[in-house]
Amino acid sequence: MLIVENFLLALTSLKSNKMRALLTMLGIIIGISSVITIVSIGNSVSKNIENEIKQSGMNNISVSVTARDSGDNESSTYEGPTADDMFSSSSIGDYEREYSSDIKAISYEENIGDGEARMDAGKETQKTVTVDGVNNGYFTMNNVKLLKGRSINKNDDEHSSDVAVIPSSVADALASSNDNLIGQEIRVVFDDKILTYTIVGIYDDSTKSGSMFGGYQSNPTMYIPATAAMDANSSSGIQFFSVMPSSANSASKLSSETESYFKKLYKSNKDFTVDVYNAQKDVNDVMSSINKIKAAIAVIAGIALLVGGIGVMNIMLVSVTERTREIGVRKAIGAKRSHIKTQFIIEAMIICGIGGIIGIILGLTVATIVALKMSLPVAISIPVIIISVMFSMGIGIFFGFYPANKAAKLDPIEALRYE
Amino acid sequence: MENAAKTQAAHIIEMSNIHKSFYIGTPQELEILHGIDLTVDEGEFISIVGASGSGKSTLMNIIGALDKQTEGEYLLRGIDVKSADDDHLAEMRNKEIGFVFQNFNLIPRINALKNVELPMLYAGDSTAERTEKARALLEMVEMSDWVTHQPNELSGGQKQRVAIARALANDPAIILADEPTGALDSRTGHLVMDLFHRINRDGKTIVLITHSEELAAETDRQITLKDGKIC
Ligand SMILES: Nc1ncnc2c1ncn2[C@@H]1O[C@H](COP(=O)(O)OP(=O)(O)OP(=O)(O)O)[C@@H](O)[C@H]1O
Ligand SMILES: [Mg+2]
Repeated sequence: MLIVENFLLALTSLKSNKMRALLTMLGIIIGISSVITIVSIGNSVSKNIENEIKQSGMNNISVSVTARDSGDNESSTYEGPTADDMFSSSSIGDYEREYSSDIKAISYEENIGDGEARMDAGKETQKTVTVDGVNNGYFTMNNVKLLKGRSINKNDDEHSSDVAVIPSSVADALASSNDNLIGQEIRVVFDDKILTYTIVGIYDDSTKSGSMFGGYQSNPTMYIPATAAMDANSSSGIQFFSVMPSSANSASKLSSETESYFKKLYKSNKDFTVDVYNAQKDVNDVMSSINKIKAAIAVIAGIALLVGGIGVMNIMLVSVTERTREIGVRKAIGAKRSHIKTQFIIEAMIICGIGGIIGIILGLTVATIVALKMSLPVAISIPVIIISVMFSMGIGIFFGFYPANKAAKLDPIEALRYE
Repeated sequence: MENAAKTQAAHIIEMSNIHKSFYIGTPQELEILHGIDLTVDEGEFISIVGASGSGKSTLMNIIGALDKQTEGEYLLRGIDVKSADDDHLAEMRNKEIGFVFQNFNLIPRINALKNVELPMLYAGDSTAERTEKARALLEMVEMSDWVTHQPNELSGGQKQRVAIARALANDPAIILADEPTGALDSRTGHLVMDLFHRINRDGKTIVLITHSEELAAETDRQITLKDGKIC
C-alpha cells in the first residue's frame, strides 16, 4: 500500500524535475547499456565461434601415428612406420568398442588417386574420379547424403569387398538414368592398373559440403572400402583416423582418454607413438581470451555504472535537502523513520529502474545492430537482462540508502524550522 | 476508585515543572521554559498568548510530542512522552495530535485529498477508507470543490482549511494550532476560528497559540507566557 503511494509520489516528484531526473538517469543508462552491449556482442561472438566449430567438425579428435622424438640420436636414419606400428581396422575397432558410448563415429581413409571411370552398361563416355577408400563411419562424420542404395558397411571393410558408392554427378555423366545402377559394375582406369567395383550406392554431391574446403574445384569422389583401397595401394596400415564424439561436451574427456589408451598401447614401441589432437582445446583457449576481454570491458562498464550510482546518490542528497521541510511535516503528522526511508529509497530505485530499462533497450538495440552488421548471430540473453534490472535496482537501493537514512533521521523540529 | 481513574483520564495534558533548554554550543545552555505547570482537560479550548520569543512554540512542540522537555514531567493522555522512542512518538503524533501551522505546511505537488489522506496512510488505513474519510473531512471544512487542487492552486484560507481537515484525519484527541490565523486577513482568520469552535463543540480539545487578543478572548481559558513562565 505504502509502496504504491510512494511509487506514485516518486513519479510526481521526478516529473516536477524532469531535466534533473533525466541527467541523473543518464549515468545509469550509459552504464547499463554498455554492460548489455558488451555482454550481448560477446555472446554473439562466442555463439558464432561455437556454430563454426559445429559446422567444421572441430569437435573431432584426430589420432595419428608419429615418430618419437629421439633428440639424442640425430643421425639415426628415419624409417617409416611398419604395419606393426600403424593402426589397422581391427585395432581401431578395439578402441571403438572400449569407448563406444562416447563415440559417435570413427572415420579413416585411404586415397588411391584419380582415374577414369567407365561403365559398360552406360554411355560411351568416361569421367575422372578420385577413388577414396573409406570406412562406414566416414559417411556419418561427413554427412554424406545417400540418394540410392547403401553406404560402405563394416562387412565391406572387413572383406575388402570391391564395392563402390558413386557420386550422383558421375552417375549422371555415365548413365542415362540412375534407376538400375545399383548392382552394375564401374571400372576405373589408373595409370598402372584397372580396378572394377560393383555399385552399391549413389550419394548426392550436387552441393559440396564442408565449408572449410570451400572454393577449389576437385574431381568427384567415389567411395570404396578403406581396406580395398589399402590392398590396391599395398599399404600396410592406417596412420591416421578421426573420432567424432557423441556430444560436444564429451570431446575433451574422450580426447584425454584416447590419448592415455594409445600411449599405453605404444609404450613399448621405441620408434613410434600416437598423437591425439583435439581442436576443442584451441577453441577453449580462444574462448577464454574472449571471456577475459569481455570481463575487462565489463569492469569498465561497471565503473560507468558506479559513477552513475554516485550521481544518483548526489541527486538524492539534494532532493533530501530541498525537501527538508516536507520531511518535517510528514514526521509531524506521524511518519515513522521507515516511512521516510522507504519514500526516498523507492525514489532512487525508480530513477535507477527507469534508467536501467532505457539502458537495456539501448544496449540491446546497439548489440543487435552490431551483430547484424558483422553478420553474427543475435544473442539476447534473458538472464543478463534480468540481472541488469536487478542490479540497477540494487544500485538504487545502495546509493539511495544513505540519503534516505539521512532524511529518516532528521529531527522533526529542525526540519520544520528549515528555511 | 473508578471515579479517580476517570478524573485521571480527563486530564488530557498534564505538565508539571517543565523546563526546556537549548544547547547553543558547549558549554552554554539557554533555558527557554522555566518550570511550566499546565493541565488541560478533555474538550477544553485554551489559548496561549505572550510576547514573541516567550516560548509559546517551544511549549507547543513539547505538547505535540515533537520535542522533549529537559526537565519535569509531561503526560499526554497518561503516557510519559519523555520515555517514548522515535517511532512511538511518531505514532502518538499520528493518532493523538493534529497540527495546524501558521504557514499551512501542506505537502507540495500532491492534491488536497492526498494531503488529507496522508496521516491515515501512515496509520495504515486502506485506500478506500482513506479516500472516503478525506472527502468527508474536506466537505466539513467546505473544500469539496478543491479536492483535486494542489496546494499552490489554493488561497491561504483554503490551504488552512485543508490543513485543518488533515489535522482531523485520524480523529485525534488534541488539535494544536500555532498561530493558524497569523498569515490570514482578519475576515479569513475569523472563518478559520469559527471552524475551530465547531470542532471544539464536536468534542475536540484545542490548544491555540495566537497574538490576537480578540481571538484569545473567544476561548475557554487564556494562558499567558512571559519569559518562559506562566503568569
Ligand atoms: N532550536 C533552538 N535553538 C536555540 N534557541 C531556540 C531554539 N528554538 C527556540 N529557541 C529560542 O527560544 C525562544 C522562544 O522561542 P519560541 O519559538 O518558542 O517563541 P514564540 O513564543 O513561539 O515566539 P513567536 O510568537 O515569535 O512565535 C526564542 O528566543 C528562540 O530564539
Ligand atoms: Mg512561535
